[in-house]
Amino acid sequence: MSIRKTAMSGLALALAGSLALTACGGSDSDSGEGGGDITLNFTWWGADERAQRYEAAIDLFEEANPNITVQTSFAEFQDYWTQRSTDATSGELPDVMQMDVSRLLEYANQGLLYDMSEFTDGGSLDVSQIDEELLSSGEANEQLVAVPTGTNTLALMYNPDLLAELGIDPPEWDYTWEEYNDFIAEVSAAGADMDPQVYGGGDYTMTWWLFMANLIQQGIEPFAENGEMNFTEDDLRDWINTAEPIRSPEDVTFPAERGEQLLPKSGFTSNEAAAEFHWDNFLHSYSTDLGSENIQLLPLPSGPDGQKHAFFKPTMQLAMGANSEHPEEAAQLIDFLINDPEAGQIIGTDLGIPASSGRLDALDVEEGSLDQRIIEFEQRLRDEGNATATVPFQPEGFGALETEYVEVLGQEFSFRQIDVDEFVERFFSEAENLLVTS
Amino acid sequence: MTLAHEASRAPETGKLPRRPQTKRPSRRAAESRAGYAFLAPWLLGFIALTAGPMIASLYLAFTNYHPIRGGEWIGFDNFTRLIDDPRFMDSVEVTLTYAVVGTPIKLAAALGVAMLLNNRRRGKGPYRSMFYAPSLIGASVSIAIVWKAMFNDEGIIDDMGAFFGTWNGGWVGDPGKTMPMMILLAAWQFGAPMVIFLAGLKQIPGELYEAAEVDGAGAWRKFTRITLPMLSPVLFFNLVLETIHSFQIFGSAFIISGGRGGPANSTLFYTLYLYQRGFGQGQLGYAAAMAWLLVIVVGIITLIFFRTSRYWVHYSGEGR
Repeated sequence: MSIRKTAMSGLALALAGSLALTACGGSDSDSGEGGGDITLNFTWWGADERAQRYEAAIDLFEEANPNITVQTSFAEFQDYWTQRSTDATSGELPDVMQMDVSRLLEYANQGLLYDMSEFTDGGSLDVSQIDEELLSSGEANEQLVAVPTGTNTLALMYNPDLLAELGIDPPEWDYTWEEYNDFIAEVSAAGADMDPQVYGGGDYTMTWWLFMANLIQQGIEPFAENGEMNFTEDDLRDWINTAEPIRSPEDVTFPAERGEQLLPKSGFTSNEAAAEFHWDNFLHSYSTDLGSENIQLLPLPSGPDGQKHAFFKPTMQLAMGANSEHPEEAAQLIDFLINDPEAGQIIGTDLGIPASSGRLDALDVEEGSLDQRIIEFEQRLRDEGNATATVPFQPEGFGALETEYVEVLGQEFSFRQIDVDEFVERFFSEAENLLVTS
Repeated sequence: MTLAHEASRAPETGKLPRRPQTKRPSRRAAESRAGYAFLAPWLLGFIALTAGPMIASLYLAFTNYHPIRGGEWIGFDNFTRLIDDPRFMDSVEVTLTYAVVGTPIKLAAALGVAMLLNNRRRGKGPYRSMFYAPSLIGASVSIAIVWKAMFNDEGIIDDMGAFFGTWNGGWVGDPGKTMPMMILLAAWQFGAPMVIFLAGLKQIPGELYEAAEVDGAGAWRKFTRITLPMLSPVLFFNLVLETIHSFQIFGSAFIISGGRGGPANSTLFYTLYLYQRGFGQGQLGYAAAMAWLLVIVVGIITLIFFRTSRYWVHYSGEGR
């Protein structure tokens, strides 16, 4: 009898407890609407480093707008898109979210993004300080569905300390792809006796955007307006074979097995690879991961005509879910994030070189800082006449194709499960399923 | 009492004895109404959260549905595409290896420990709890993370290998060693089948062993001639449950490989690939087709188990 009694009272207690908890949850969300307060959801992809910047900027925003609370969340790039596509299915996209040109059409063509033009004509969203061509990257179907935060460009990051230790000079500004192969081989040979072993860099042909850049260097616009591919199987095969000299007879690229174990860091940020290609704004998170600010930037190797054909890409964009219940306030938040000088000082060049010219001018760049390094790097690209190309058109399905290239085929190739021909064949057969053509 | 005896047992015959007619059907109706009323919360949940989505996913399996773009009816295209999909084949291979190798190891571990704990010794209570503990925490995210750390380069397993000079490097980055690692993780969580085995062992009458001992049977003979046949219903239950379980592995593989099924597809379990296709690439139709194929295959395997069970599962009380 007594056992039963205890059990009953235990059950009752648990029930009461769970009721109380539900009540808490309920009142929490209710008070948001009742008191005239507004809660905005804001999500982005990126590392901790970016989260700290955003959070600090949002604290300022909330201070200036006491009636608005911003709920934030962030994820790694691939997971981020998995979450957003689930949100889209249930009509619950965040009020404000980071958007990428590679996915923009996928969302915009289905009317999932809010047309922000109603706020730009003297409204709460000021886009007048953004270069018109750059701003047009956020337009789709004659609507303004995304606002660029800034620009970035592909770069070679190298670790001068590690190179000095090995006694090897970094590549010259006008180096070629062949010279880069030689550089990797040289570093890997010199670093073979180090513990842990040091390599020049990874197999760069498994990076999707470098393939894009390489096509552009050959004068090939990767995708047509109707979503068709403008490159052939031979183009892809040739590109992958560019790195053949460093894969055989001896593989001197950073081993995939090691890379797997270092995740989420890379070989470069673990001080085990001397160089890596990436977007220049990654300098910030890379420097945090590496624990050293001494990372230098170089452009991509030159194409067959000796030119760089570099392009500036909208680093990322900010967009609003069409389902947002507070579009006015969401636009206000975007305006704050791209224009406010104080927020700009916090964000720096982590989201690319600021798109808003006013913010860029107001940016107080410290001598020798990472911000300065990125700004000077992009300036030199312009000064040297390297930035002659435009961002490639990214059709609907571009992002999924990139994932297939990097995460699936790139992995299998790096682990030597498939050869170049299988890579090419499977890429083109998957592209049929992933690209949306008209 | 032998297996041979079992094989020749007569098929089930006879019908249930006819029930006497009830005089007050209204009371029975009221009772069943009450029964359904009590069932209602579960039933509603089942329809809304399980049956409904299942039917929807069956429909999706015949479409090229995309969470953002929507989709249209494409008939059996998803299923024909599966045949030509090398990663699908990889995932089938990985999952089958895991089920065929992992399940017997896990059950053997569970049975072995259950027999050790079945002895009437002092202080077996704490041991039972200790051996059961991993299966309580094993499915959690943190354990998968700990597991990954243990098997990484310079992790504790790497150090042990270096000490004994048996292997070099962690297991996480080596496609050849991730499967043993995953199987170890599963086998380590043998607590649930162990408890069931333990209950089964308690049911075996001690006289059988005593009689066998009098006849001069050794430990091995007692195990094969008494323990195994008497335990076969429990073994059957555990086998079916654990096999189905192993086909559904997702969480630990997702965490250890960061959702990518790597390195080199070596942890690309069926459900993980399904997830990648459905939610990573937005090919929900394709993923639904995969899901239904899994349901069908697991169903067939379970059916085979049940069909073959009459030849090796012995239910005491039968044939009396």
